[in-house]
Amino acid sequence: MKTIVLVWAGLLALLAATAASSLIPLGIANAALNIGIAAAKAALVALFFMRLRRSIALLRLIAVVSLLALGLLFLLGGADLVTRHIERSAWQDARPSVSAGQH
Amino acid sequence: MSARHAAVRTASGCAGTADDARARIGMWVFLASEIMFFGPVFFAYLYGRHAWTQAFEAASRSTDLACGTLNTALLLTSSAAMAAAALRAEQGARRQARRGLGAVVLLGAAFLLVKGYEYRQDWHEGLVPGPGFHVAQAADQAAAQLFYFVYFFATLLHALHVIIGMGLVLYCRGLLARGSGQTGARRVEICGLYWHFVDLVWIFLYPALYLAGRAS
Repeated sequence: MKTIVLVWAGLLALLAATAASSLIPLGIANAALNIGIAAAKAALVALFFMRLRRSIALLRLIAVVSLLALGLLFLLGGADLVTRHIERSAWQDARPSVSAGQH
Repeated sequence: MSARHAAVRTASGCAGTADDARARIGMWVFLASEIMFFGPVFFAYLYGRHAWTQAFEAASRSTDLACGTLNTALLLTSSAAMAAAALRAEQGARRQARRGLGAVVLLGAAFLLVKGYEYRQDWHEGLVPGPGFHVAQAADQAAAQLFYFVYFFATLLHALHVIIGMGLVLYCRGLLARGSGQTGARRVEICGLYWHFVDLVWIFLYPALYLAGRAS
């Protein structure tokens, strides 16, 4: 029970840190801090609340494989969108076309 | 029967039955598939942030930081309550476990209330995609609108998971009231895994939707 309370306090401290740091202009470090702190919070929840810290290897393997599969999706999908020139039809707008801003 | 209930070293490292181990593995595999369900939403966000950085950051600044932070704190606390309830259920302290589960449901309901209040604000501020949509400081309104498509899709999908999670927790609470021993403790633990996963998704949604471009 003591561990749960400590982890909870750590999570709230990390939340305060990420919220406060996002208000200070740090350039690219803002995004890096936000992602790093989110990953730290996720690790605390997975290791202590979801008990991966004391689990058998199989459960950890399932968690890691799911993250790897997600990483593949991001990597391959992202590489496609970033590096390829997208040919548009003559009637297709280059920007998202919606009715926004016409009020 | 004896093999089924024999104490083995299982997933949590504590003594448990083979049924416990099977239930944990089943839930983890399900959660792995859920990651692939939420993942593409984050991918859409990343693509938008890369392609229309200014509009996405302006749109992110127009979300309600106070509500988002409060909601994150509520969900993190509910996860701690869930972990405490699972521990108590395992130790056979059913009354305390039920109290913990009650706290989880109340915190989940508070989360949904805050989110509902936020949606109401969004509606009044013209942040819902459609005619009349407008985000201040966004050069490209159409791209800002894409941010809000992602925002509403992600938060509504997440809210749906919170509601399902609350239903599961209430079910476990009823189960403990009837005194179901090992089965009850196992179900609390398994439903807890689902609840923590929903918390994990929010942990990443929070910086993406509420913190991006705050300082710029």
